[in-house]
Amino acid sequence: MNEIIQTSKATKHFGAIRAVEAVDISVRKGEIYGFIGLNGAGKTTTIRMILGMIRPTSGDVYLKGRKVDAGATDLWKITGYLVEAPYAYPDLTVFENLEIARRLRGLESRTSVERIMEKLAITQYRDRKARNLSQGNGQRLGIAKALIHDPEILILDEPANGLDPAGIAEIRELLKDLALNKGVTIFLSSHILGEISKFATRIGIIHEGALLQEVDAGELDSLLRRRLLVRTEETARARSSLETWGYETSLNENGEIEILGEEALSRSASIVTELVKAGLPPVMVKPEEEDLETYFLRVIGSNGGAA
Amino acid sequence: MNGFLASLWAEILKIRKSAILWVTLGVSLFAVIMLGFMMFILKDPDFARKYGLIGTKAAILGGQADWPSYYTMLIQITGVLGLLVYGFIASWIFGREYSDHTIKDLLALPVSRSTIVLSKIAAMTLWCAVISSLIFPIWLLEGYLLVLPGWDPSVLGSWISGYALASPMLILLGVPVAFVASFGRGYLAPLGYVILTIALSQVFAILGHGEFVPWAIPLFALASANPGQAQLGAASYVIYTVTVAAGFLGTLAWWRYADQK
Repeated sequence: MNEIIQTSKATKHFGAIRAVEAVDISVRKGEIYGFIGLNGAGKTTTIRMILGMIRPTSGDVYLKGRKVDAGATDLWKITGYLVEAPYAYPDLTVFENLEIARRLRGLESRTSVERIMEKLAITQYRDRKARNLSQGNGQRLGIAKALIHDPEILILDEPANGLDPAGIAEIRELLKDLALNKGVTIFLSSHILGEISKFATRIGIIHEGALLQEVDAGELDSLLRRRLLVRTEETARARSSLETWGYETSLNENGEIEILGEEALSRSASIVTELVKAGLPPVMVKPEEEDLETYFLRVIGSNGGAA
Repeated sequence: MNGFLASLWAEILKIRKSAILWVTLGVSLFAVIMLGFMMFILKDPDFARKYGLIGTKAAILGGQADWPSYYTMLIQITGVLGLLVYGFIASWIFGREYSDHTIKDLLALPVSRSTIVLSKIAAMTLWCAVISSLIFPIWLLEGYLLVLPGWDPSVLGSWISGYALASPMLILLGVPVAFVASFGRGYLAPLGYVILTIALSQVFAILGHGEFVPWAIPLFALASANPGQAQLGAASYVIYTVTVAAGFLGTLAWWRYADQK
């Protein structure tokens, strides 16, 4: 059994609201699956279905080949999770919150709590009440609760929330290590493609409840649009000439000509030569690659999104 | 069993570390101390006149400064206080998980949701039992120190039996509150429910139909400990048991089957 997390036409409606519509996801062992979508796209609802917190209106969810059910306690033994914002018992200290997690997870070793605090760099806040933690340390506590029992499956909803850039990098490395060296299957959601793309092995894009695209991280690069930006003294005439020569062009908000397509990039030297010959010498020529955020917005935009 | 003990340990820790522990204990002890104070006022008419309002209230509640009146006061205070304080405790134990958004950490664990619910009810019962077991001895001690007339050792056993029956009955009326807290996902709905049940228990007790209203049945059990009073019938036990059982099964079903959004 290689598929660790699988949803089959998983659908969830809340009355007239179609929160998630026929989502098919498949996550293999040791993969880091980045689940991307805008706020309200259906990420958390999908995660709650995977964790048995809500029942799909139709369709099924499987973990390690077993149909997910709220009573499947043996599945939850091997699963760690963080859903939405991390909340903890505010009157209890960091240690006490983790001690509760340790006991409820049935962990015999009393050192588990000390070990996970050290791993998440929150040992110094051991005796601080959860209500007095910063947002970032609250997030670390939430991740610590998810990891305390060394789960085989890790489901994290927006794990980077509230963390500073160093914290984000630290958690990223931690998750990479878990997946690569310990074979942990990680499913994490985010609304920031740029961050997820740095370490996810596969990415799914969800928008308005529907899974629009699933792509391996290696393929992502080939899907990004590339273009050549050109600025001349006579923009209109230059654009007209370029189109005569067979290039697809557009004008961006800076008044620069955008020549789309891989061919334009590979022939940039020839384009410059042609423009000079035509008496339209460029004052700037720059190859540009679409960034991941733009790609994400383009994907959801082309599927009826607001972007 | 290990899961139950782990969850019970967690629930007791949450209670120990909360301000609610001291608030409910303080309110309960204050109420029972006030009973003694009211008897003290009733014993001294000059003092009662000086503290007009308290004197009047004491006269309404108890009437006379003697042991039977003092027991009547205990019935009334226990009836209201039990529903209010024990209901508040049940609201807190279940409702706080929703208000603090910690419920989601209890839903996908090696410990089943039913076990979590059972441990919460056990913790609620333990906490309420501690409060309940403090009230009666303090009440008795106050009466003894006030040297109230009308002491009848043969009735004491009956009062103890009545209290021993009514207290767990009042405590377990917290179970339907747990359902309302879970269904309402927080504190507000169960607190509204508790206030409604107090009002219903008082109204039906005054109308003389207390033995058929689940929230007044414990009061009836306390009152029936007095010599010559009618005893609880089978119908009362059935009504009471169905109410608590419905709350219990409803809570289990809600945690197990409802969407936890």
